Amino acid sequence: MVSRLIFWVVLSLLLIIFVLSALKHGAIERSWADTASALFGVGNDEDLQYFIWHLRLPRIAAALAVGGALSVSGVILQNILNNPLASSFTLGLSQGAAFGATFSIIILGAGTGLFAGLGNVAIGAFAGSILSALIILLFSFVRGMTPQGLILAGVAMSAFFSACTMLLQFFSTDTQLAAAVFWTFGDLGKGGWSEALTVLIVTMAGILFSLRLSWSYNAIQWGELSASGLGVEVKKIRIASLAATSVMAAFATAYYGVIGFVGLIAPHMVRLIFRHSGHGFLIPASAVLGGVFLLGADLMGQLMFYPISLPVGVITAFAGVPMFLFLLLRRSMKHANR
Amino acid sequence: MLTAENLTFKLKNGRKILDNVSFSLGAGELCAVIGPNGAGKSTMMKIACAIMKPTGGKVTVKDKNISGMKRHEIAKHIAYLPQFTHAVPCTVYDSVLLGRKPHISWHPGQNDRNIADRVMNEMGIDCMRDKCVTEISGGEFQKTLIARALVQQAEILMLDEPINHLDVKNQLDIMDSIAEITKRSKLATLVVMHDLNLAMRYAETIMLMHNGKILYHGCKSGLTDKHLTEAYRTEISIRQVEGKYAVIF
Repeated sequence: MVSRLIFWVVLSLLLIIFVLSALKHGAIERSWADTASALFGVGNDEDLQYFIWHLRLPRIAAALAVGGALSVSGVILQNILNNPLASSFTLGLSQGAAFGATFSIIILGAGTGLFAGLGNVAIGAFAGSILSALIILLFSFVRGMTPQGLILAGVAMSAFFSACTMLLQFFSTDTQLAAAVFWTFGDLGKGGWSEALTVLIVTMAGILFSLRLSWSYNAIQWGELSASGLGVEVKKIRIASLAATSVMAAFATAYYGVIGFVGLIAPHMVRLIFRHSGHGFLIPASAVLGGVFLLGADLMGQLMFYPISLPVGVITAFAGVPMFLFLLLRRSMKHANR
Repeated sequence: MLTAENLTFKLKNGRKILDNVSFSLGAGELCAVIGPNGAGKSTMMKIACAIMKPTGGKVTVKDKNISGMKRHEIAKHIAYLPQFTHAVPCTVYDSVLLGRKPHISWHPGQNDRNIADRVMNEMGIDCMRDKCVTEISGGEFQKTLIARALVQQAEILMLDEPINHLDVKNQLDIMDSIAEITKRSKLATLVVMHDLNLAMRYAETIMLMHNGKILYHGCKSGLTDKHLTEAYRTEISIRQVEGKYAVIF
């Protein structure tokens, strides 16, 4: 059995290796000594200093923040919706963001000239994501609405926003279409320090919020009746958590595009290693693992077909789909054996 | 300790699940709630611990109406064990410690852990503290859930069919523990049961429900063949054999 200490040591080592690799590798590559000098601002290589301080470090921060945000969202949604396949991606928040971004680009004219007006695209994506979340939230207020009903509402919202996005794309020009499609590729190179720090602050707030409720989440795992008997206001917590996870996922998606499956991979990896872990451990462990995983995936995307850099969303999807299907199969087999 | 006054629960189609149910429960009293399926036993229990809202009537704990209390405040007074609970992959110790939820804000402290240790010892499950709940037997699981309810340290214990699907030895073990703790800690305990013999053996008072109404509530010696036969619609008689009650059907 893997102890928690070993888990944190391995995760820390992976984090150090990925951070160092992400600092060294890229469009400009120098020796380790030069990289270290540029990092601490003592060398003469201004190009390298610029790359490290304005491109690579914000990208590392973004990977950790976005990975953490999506993973913690996944942990919470899987708990409150009582479904191991729930995440901001499966709930339609990402598709809402994609629609918002496409609307900004095609209807409002933002983002043409590749990244011109990224701020507007991000605002559109944020609004789309929040709109999708609000609709799900409204459903959660309906009397007698079950967690399974909310998941189905998410599936319907995904389909609806995907159809709206396609409709907009159908009537767009080639340039607009290219900008809209490019936005949907989840890419950590889209933002700078301000975007990374914003997502980082929101993620930290989300982690604190969910840690405060970790024992309520432990109780909710036992079902609504048991949790109520233990003094948990299940409905209130479900609504507050849905709102908190939506904000976290909306910020991450608005700035960095659609990055799917992180919210499934990280929490389930932790659950596979530590079967008995409560949410007091599951939340921080998933947040860090999600960040490290996304950093590793981004590094892979940058180095695999160098000098061509693959969007990180493609890598996470390739890793996430087998995980999703594995969970689905495991769940079906569990039901069959009952 | 617990008083229910004129509890009524009506469905939208007008069907009454509970019809003007009133009762009170004192400290140290173990009351068995019996009655046929659909009599309203579980609904009454859910309303009595404010998990469901009644369409009429009120429940008071120590003269305080629970409808105005917060959920965690209610859980400090009433520990409720639902009829069906699925096992969650966690250790027996963690699932028992979860009973301290109404008393903790961030994480359980040493006092909470001491209480969990003591109750596990009393219930005889301390030897399996590190076992996974999904890998223990039905009887052990039920004991774990009851231990969790006891860890809540509420004055009122509501257990909805805690011994269903268990073998005779486990049924007796669990009912022995419940009866002993009710007496020792002066709890007011309400247990929904289907085994009439065990109800007559362990309970001091019996609440017989039928069609959403209380057909009989009082000392078990006052329960007659007529009450049971009317409620269950089959011939049932109560006999005393060697000083013990035996329900024959």
